[in-house]
Amino acid sequence: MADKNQIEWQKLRQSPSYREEICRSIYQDESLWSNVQKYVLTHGGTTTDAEEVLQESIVRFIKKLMSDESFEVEKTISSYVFGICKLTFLSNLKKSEKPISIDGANINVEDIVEVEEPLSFLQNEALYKLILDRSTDTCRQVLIYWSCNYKMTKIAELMDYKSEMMARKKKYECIQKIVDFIKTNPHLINNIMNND
Amino acid sequence: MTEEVIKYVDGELDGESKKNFESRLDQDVNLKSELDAVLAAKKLSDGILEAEIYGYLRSIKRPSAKMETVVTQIKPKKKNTTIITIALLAACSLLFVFVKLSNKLTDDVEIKDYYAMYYEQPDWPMERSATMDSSYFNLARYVNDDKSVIDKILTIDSKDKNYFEKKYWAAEVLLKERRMAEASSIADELLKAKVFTSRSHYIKVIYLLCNDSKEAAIQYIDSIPASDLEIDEKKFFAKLKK
Repeated sequence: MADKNQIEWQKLRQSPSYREEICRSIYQDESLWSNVQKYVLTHGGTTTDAEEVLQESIVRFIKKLMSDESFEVEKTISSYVFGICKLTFLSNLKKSEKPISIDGANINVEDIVEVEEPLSFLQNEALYKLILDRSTDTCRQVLIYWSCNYKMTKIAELMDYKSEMMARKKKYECIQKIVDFIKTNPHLINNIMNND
Repeated sequence: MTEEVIKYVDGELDGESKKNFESRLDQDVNLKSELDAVLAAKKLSDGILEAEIYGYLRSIKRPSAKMETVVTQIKPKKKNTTIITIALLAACSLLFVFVKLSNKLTDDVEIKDYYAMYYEQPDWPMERSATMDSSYFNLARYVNDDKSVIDKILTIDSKDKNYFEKKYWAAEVLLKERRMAEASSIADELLKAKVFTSRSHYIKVIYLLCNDSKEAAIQYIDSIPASDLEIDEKKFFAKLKK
């Protein structure tokens, strides 16, 4: 699997296909999957739980990489993602009020990735499908940058725009499309804002 | 108006402009609703990256053999292999005698045998289908032994634009669950609509084998128009007739 030093940060932020490549390499890491499965099964979960936990953890990991420029993985990506998996699984157990056994959990990434906050996508998959269907690749990318709080200069650089003004124009245009969509479906505002 | 609201949400309004904006917020209902919409848009945008990554992950297939390997690894170690082997041999012998006896007494075991002999699973959609939206995920969970999603898979809105595709997979799930009459009934519907014909005929044949007779199944096979069948089913039916 890709080592932390092999990830090209700029490319990761710029290219969805590179993100896919990174996801694939983590997801298909047999040793990571074996560890996650072992951990989940020995703590009362099922293979399906392990699958869900691994997927959720990869999503959280990529989000962290995208949104925090200063973020560094101390050891290997595999061990880092495994740490998130443990946290995610225990957090899900807590929510489901199942008895928790955390012997030897050895978790130390609490301060790095917040797993208590539910993922927005999982709250409303159908809505996201609608939005993805209606938005262009460029707008998706711009909205991802917006959600990661990138500055306009950074967005211009990543999107290869000649000026910050062009990037700003594009950003407003893409946000406007989402805002219009929300305005035509006013009930969504409450749904979206009360999901947490 | 939206640009100003976006700047406010992004913390780009400086002291005076920010103050001015906030004082207008109290009086201007439209501005307030614009702010709500932009905040909701920002919240929605948070999930776009998640949706992208989930899209990738759900389209990647992991070799299932690896799962079994891990499950085997965490099983308790054998304590006394000799005793276990003897017990297993005894159990197998008893089972063999029981099956032989039962075969003579009732057709029921023969019905189950037909299913075991001839049922072949379809290529479950582990890859993301262009038309199956989130339903494919329920199928993937089902294939991974999560039976809790069966009801979801079987609940299909008649106005759904992918109605027949979802119906087809519902039939496959029912067949795998040995709910053959229900699967056969869906197969009839699909055949009437002339969609998924090849595998629908297969479902009908398995149903007839298990609930009627091999002769009835072969009679049915002979009545199928060749153009309805794909290569796999053609081969399977030819093998069955032999």
